[in-house]
Amino acid sequence: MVNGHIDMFTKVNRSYLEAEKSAKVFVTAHIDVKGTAPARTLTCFLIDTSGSMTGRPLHYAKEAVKSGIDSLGPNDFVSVISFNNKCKVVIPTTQVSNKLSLMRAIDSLNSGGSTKMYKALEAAGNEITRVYQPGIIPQIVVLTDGAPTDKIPVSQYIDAASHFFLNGGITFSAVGISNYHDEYIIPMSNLGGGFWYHIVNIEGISNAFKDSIKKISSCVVHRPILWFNPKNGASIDEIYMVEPFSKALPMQSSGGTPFCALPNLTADVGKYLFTAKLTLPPGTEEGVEILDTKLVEGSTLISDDTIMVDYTSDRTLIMDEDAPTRLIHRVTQIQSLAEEAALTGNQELTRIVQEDIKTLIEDGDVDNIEDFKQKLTQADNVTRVENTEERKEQISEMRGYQKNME
Amino acid sequence: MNCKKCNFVNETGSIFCESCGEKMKNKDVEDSNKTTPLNEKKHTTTDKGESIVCSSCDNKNPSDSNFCENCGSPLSGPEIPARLVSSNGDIMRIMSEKNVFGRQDFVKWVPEEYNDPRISREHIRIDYENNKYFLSLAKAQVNVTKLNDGAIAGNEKYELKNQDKIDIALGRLVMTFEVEQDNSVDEKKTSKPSKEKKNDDKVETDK
Repeated sequence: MVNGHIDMFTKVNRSYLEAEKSAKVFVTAHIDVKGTAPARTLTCFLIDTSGSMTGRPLHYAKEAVKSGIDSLGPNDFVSVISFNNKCKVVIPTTQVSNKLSLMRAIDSLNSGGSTKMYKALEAAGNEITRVYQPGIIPQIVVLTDGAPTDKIPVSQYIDAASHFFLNGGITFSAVGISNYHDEYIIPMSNLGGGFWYHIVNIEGISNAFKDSIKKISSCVVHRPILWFNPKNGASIDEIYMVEPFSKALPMQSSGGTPFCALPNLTADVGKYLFTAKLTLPPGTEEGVEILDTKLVEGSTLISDDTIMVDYTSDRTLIMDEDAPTRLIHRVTQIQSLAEEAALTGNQELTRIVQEDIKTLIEDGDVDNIEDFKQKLTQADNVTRVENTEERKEQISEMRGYQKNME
Repeated sequence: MNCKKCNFVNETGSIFCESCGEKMKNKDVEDSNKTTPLNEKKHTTTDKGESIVCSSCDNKNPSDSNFCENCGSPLSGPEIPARLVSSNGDIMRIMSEKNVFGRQDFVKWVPEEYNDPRISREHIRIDYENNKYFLSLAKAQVNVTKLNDGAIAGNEKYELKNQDKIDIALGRLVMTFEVEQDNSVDEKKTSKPSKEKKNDDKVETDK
């Protein structure tokens, strides 16, 4: 099901390479998404109702779930699960036909106790798979204000989100308020194919919930796969998503061909950008195909494009380069590593990133490209945060997509 | 021509780094076009007939020799010869009184770290002063470097002793500092002003 229109093209930073020498090149894949009709969705809200949510946070959480339900269409499905010491299915997955009765059920939410979130994730998986049918786009949206207290390691949480996304096509998004632990929910949303919302003013929870529903409802391609088929001895070193925000994309492989599971392509985001670094063997000929890119949903080919290069001895041609295509990759890599360094507290990685930023700026390569310079400065700020609150702020600032959430 | 990003040694005149794909600085490319390639340069100097006479055996060696072709004695550098030895037993001799070692120097020891910025282009400095070797960081912002398992501080100098362990990439690149004590070196050193110091060392070793 492709619920709209997709345009994709790929671009390489150098199309002329020095003959008889191996080379590294940078490729970008640009995808434009336009929707036609709203998709049929299933949203499972996981609401933290631990003791710390008592008072205003719980009040605004309830209001947010209600406004989320209100923004769903009659063909959509919703479920609500609360979690503290125990998890409770407040609304089993149901079609949104009677919004008032669903909203009344939300009023029964009470707070108290600890934050055992993992059970809620398992329950969410059950609630979604129980009613899932092809054509429905499922997502989990979690709201939390603290760290899980179930002593389950962060890696297991991240694996769970990744499993939902890769194996079930279930997007995982997270809304953090107050003292939530970003080292859990940022990587979970990254590997869960969703978004992370950093909410400072709790009145903004509603906007985050509505945004997550707006995005899933405008889904044009569910579970898209980007196949990168390197040709004539080329190989792919690494792949990043650039837009809507920077993150590394885990590369998988099938029959020797690398591919990436992309997040759902939505008309709300509209423009997606991916970047890859390739190693090419020495060559002598012109018109050598180095990369076939295919965007597919299931077994349906949505769009494809091929990149060719010419090996030449003409130095004036070799000097030609689309520098922004290379810088897109480098800056994205730095942003992604800066985020990882800040979240893990890895001082070694921090130093590497800072050194890389310094080199890139000092090289003068980004002198005339203010946007890249600004992104590098933001990444540098991310590596220099002194506490977790500042870290959330700076990473949120670097991502830039959630400025209107408050 | 070294790439500014990954320090890969590209062929002279390269426009893009073959290792990481970065564009080489225009100035570097232009400069390299003007200069003679390194290996040719060496031959040119040698062709002029300049030579270094070994103080141990009087053999005449080409001017770019570091060791005597005849007896193997060091031809220049500190009077007390020293070397860095990798965990695999590979040796890098310390050839002068002021030395900076970085990624490019260690690439033979850890080729898989070639693009790893944990090893900086200019990582450590080993200076020879008053018959002693001192270790310091080549750059203030350089990555964690340890001497005998203790991290070394930015602007400090640490005296190196024989068999000291230097770790410059969190265990990935550990090397041993060794004061050379082979016979040919001893013979050479006895004819030099550092004789007293060397003999002291020997007495201690004998103990």
